[in-house]
Amino acid sequence: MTKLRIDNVVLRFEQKGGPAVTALDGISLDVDNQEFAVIVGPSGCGKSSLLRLVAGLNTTTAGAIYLDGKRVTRPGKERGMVFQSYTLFPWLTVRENVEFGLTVAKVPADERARIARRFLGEVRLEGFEQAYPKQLSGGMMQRVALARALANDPEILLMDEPFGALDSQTRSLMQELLLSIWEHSHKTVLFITHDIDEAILLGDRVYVMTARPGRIKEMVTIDIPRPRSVEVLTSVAFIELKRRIMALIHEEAVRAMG
Amino acid sequence: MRTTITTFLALTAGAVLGVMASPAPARADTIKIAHSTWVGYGPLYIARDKGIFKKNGVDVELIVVEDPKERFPTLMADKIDVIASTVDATLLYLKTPKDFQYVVAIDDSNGGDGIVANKDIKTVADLKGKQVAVNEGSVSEFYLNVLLAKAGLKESDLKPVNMTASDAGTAFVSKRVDAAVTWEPWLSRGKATDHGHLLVDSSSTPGLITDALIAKTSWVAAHPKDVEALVKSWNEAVGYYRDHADESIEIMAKGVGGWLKDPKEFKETLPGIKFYGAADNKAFFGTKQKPGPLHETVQAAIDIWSSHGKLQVKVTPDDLINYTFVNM
Amino acid sequence: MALLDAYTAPKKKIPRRAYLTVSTLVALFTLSFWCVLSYGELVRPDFLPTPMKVVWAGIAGARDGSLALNTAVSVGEIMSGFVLASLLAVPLGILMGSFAIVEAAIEPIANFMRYLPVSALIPLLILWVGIGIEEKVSVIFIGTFFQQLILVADVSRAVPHDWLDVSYTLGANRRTVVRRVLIPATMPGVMDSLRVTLGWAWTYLVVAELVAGNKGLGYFILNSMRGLFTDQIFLGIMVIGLLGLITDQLFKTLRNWLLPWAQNP
Repeated sequence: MTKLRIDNVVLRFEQKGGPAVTALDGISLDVDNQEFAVIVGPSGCGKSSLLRLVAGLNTTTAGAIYLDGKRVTRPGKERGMVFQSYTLFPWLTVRENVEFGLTVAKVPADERARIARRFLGEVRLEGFEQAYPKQLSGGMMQRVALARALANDPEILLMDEPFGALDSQTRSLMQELLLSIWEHSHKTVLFITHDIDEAILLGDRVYVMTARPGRIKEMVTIDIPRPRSVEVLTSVAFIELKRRIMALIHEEAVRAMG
Repeated sequence: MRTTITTFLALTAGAVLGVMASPAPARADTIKIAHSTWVGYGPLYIARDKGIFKKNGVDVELIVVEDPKERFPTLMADKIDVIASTVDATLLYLKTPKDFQYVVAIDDSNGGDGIVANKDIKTVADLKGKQVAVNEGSVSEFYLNVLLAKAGLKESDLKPVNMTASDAGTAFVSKRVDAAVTWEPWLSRGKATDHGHLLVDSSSTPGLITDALIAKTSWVAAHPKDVEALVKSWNEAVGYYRDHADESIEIMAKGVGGWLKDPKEFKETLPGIKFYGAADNKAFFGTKQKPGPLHETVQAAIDIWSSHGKLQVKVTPDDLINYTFVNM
Repeated sequence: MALLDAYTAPKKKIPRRAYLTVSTLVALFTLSFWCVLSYGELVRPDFLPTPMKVVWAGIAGARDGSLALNTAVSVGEIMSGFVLASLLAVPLGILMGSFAIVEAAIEPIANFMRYLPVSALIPLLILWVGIGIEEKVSVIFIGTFFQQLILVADVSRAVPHDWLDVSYTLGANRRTVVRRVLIPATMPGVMDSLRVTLGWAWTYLVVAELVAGNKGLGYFILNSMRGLFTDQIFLGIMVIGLLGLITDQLFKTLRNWLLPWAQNP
């Protein structure tokens, strides 16, 4: 059942002293309910722009985006998002950060606390409720950001290279954490990355984007069984998929260079 | 990037050095005279531009320093040799009785200074209890106190409000104060209002608001020939003006500049003052044995500023008046 | 060498004792330099008073109550003008930095007014505001307000765009974003701007007390300039400097108390 439909979306914007730039040139893809969809592509191909359109933070030049059949025109809590940059509010404690969406929705205090506690537990940060973001490491901050997004119970979770700013050790741990959380929540996720390993490890379906102007080059189904762990990274099936996707991306990277 | 920064630094250094470098180096015996922008100092420019200074053997540089509280420090710091200032102001900057001397008188205010007041204030005595705008520590306050003393009042009998002479004019025109001690053009503007009139002006008190050339006593003692030349040049310049008014006004307007650079404006403001020429100076200074009105003015300044606590030195007019040069 | 390394690495903290020692040493050195120049008469005594002369002027002022009175009057004027300016500039600046239409309306004029010498506006102020305490407060206000506006707008502009975006994706509307994200996010920067502009406010004191001033530190300094009573001039300057130091420290303490979560600048 289709949760998210991206229908022939075009994104063009004016540039100073030059012709208009086409960032996205007719993107169409569907994300099923409870699916973990990943978009992978070379730098600058427009994948972040696409995610921002789904979030409703920008508007399309042509084409439309539908969530549960309803057209997306502006941001909303049903499309929660985790950014690559650190977006925790420094003036709020970890718990207050996680409760933010609930506070805005005027959820009563004790229920907010209960929900926050639960999701902080899921990201393994129980005990840090009273800490301020300035006391946390990068990985911890992204965990809180994830808990904050999940606590709001969105219909779809959008993730824009959430682990891109972390070192590889932390990134690996975060991927494992995300996998385990997803295993028992099965939230619909649309995940952006440039890291092919990450895409295959996490995703049910991987969409490879072309270089600008962005189009969907190919859709690759990841038939590695779940539940997955990082051991999967060295399996034969994984290597095969990686070879395939690498070739596709390489083609695009070369085209992008000119 | 590096060459850009280097170029920028080089240009900045060059600009700073260029600004710091003095303009045409003055000759060893150049006399620097500082004055404010006022019609009274016009003849200094006649003396310069008509070669009178040169003929008398002195090289003079004329410099504008508007405010006495900046001008006196330049004299005290030996950056300037002679300054033009009101007679009374000298007492404010005196630290010992023998600091300064008046060597020649320049001009006398002849209606250019005065008091504008509400129409119901008909005499100086009526200022009692009124709000009067006056510049504390200036010649305006001195003038006011002399007038008040004549009417049997003290400044504490009024409500003085401290501000510059032009701000005082503005305040009066805006009906913020009952009276203002000020100068042109504010006297005319105050007169022109519906609520105001001219209470009194300096034409009724000659010799009170007078400008003089002032120098350090030690400098005068070390440069008697130069001072003699200055005084001679001044008197000759005034004489020239009296014989060639129109040409002189052109020269003076151009020289003094500022808001007076238009000869028409200069000419219109002239009637507010009277220049002191050779004969006027002799009469104004008098001699040590028979002092002239200057003596009285200086004494009034000593009395008033002492009573205000602004003069803490015991001094007599003869400490400050140099009778020699005007009587040569 | 290791010691040198430890003290010359950028952005690295040094122990508190070291900090205080260096500050005190420099202060003492400056004082000694002043003493040498003044007692050694390397600068004319009537232009540079000795420290003791300034102290005596201070004692005289304390004894007859004039120092306390002048200080109180000036502090009152500064605080009134500053608080009024801040109350208006902070919300307006926050809006200016985040809403292009507000910026378009206000920024050009604010940038223009920022450079005007306030003393040139005095005649207009006399005409429109008068000659009482309101005129003095107006001078402080005008001198402070436009600077604060620009600084606060910059602080507001620096709030990361992503923070606002993430709030939208958490269900906040525009009003909630302003109230719950924009305003708290600007608080550290706003406090720093206020701390800096309070210092600038003091530099307008002399101009403020030019008109109808007969009390206050600015008037005291002005009066002392007529007659070149440098010991008094320096006393006035020192008192203002000290007050500035105190308010600066107060602001820093206030910031740490109110905003413990903020990174130290």
